[in-house]
Amino acid sequence: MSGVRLRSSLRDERTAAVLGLSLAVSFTICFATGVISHLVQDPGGWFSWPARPAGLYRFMQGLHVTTGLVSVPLLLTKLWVVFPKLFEWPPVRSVGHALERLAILPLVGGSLLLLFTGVANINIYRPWAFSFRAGHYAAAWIVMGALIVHIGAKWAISGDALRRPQPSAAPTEGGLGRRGFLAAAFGSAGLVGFLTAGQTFSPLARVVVLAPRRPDIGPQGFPVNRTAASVDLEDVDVDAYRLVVDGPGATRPLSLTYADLEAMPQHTATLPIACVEGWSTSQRWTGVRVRDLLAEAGAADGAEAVVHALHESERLRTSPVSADHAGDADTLVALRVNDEVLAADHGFPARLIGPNRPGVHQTKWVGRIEVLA
Amino acid sequence: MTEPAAPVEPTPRIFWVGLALGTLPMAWGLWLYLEAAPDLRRRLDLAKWLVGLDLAHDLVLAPLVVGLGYAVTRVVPPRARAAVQAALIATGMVLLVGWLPLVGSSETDNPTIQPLDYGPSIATVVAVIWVTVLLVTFLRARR
Repeated sequence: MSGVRLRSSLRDERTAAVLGLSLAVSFTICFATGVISHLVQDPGGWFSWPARPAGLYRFMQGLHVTTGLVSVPLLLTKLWVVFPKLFEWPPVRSVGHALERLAILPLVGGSLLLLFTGVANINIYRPWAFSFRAGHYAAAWIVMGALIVHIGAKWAISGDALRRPQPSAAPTEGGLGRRGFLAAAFGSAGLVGFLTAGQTFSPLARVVVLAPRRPDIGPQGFPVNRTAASVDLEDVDVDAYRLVVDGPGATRPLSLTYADLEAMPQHTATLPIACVEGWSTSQRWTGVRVRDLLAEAGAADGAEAVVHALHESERLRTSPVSADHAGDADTLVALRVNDEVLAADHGFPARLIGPNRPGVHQTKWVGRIEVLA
Repeated sequence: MTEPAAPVEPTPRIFWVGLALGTLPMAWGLWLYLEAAPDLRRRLDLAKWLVGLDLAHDLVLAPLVVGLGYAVTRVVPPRARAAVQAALIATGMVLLVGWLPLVGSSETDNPTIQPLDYGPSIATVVAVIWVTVLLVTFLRARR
């Protein structure tokens, strides 16, 4: 074992505590935003997600993904600092110490799993067999639990190290001192944030070279998550197209042609598409208000609905529209974006778009609105 | 290691509080996963990746970095050592995060995913890191 190298003066309690504290903050942000996003995608029960503020989901999911990316340098530098503790001797000193060390496995393995699956998932690379959503979500709870155990174990020692400024670790033979090392760690984290945040924060779009999306590249000038080709809807016959509004809550079921939709009062709203994978973009949409369609179909005030896509693909075929969303003046069945007819990839002939909805619920190629009782 | 073993200290009470509080979310996460994963293969797959990534770090990445650090102390003169170490850290992080866009990992034919030519952009970022770090070192040395 190259004991000489591992006893670098940087591997001290204070460096570990500073990085540990920053990870506790970044992981907590990721966890909170992630749990909320998880609940938003599976509404019902005690949890309901409001239609306003319009950009809340966009902000939260951008924060989730950017914070996760920024955590990569923080986690790896932290692991570098504490790496020698892996070879601690004797390996176990007491029952408490054994449990403390045992909890390191779910903490470190789980953290690596969260960051690896998160970064790979936004890059549409999924070499594992488990469901990303289920695995990432379960691992998040496991890591947060292990983090609480770890914080309890390190509370005294880290608190001490943070309160009592230790003499700055002397740079060994011209190498980085503690301050320089921390500057490199936080600098790298900042750099990763700067080079990825542009996928949701448009002023930085031109420098988004470490993230897989640019919010201004795609058909009609913005990205898509699902192409028309992937669901065989590249050439929808607009003459045969019907938007059906029916269901137990619709006392006067409708079957509307594209021309019928165009003839209805049109409303324009600037709303974000905010993907769970962290990219987002704001566009100007024009179409028919969902609440007008529901009223026309004889739905009661406060009705809920389920929107169905034209395709039969199991994934993302329907999305729930709560009473709050259905009643919002900006929740639209959009026919146009930025005054152009929707491209096939953006959901031609018609797509759902509404404020404060995750991208997976902005259903494209809408064929049916089922009004619930 | 050569130092004498640390004396056995009583485990502080806050550890037991943390253990009690932390076990609940861990158990909840485990239960959520067993509920969501329909078969044994997928159930084991998550554990496989969790342990596998841990081992990949401990047995591959960490020794690699230790070796690289050793090489730096041998090869780089002391006055440039801090700069080179900082630049290596930043470069490594940029390459780790940028790796998947760089190799074009996307498994779909959606052209809006990884739409850029990432090679030149990431090379530019790495060049900027090294120029910046060396410039800072040079200016500090003059002061």
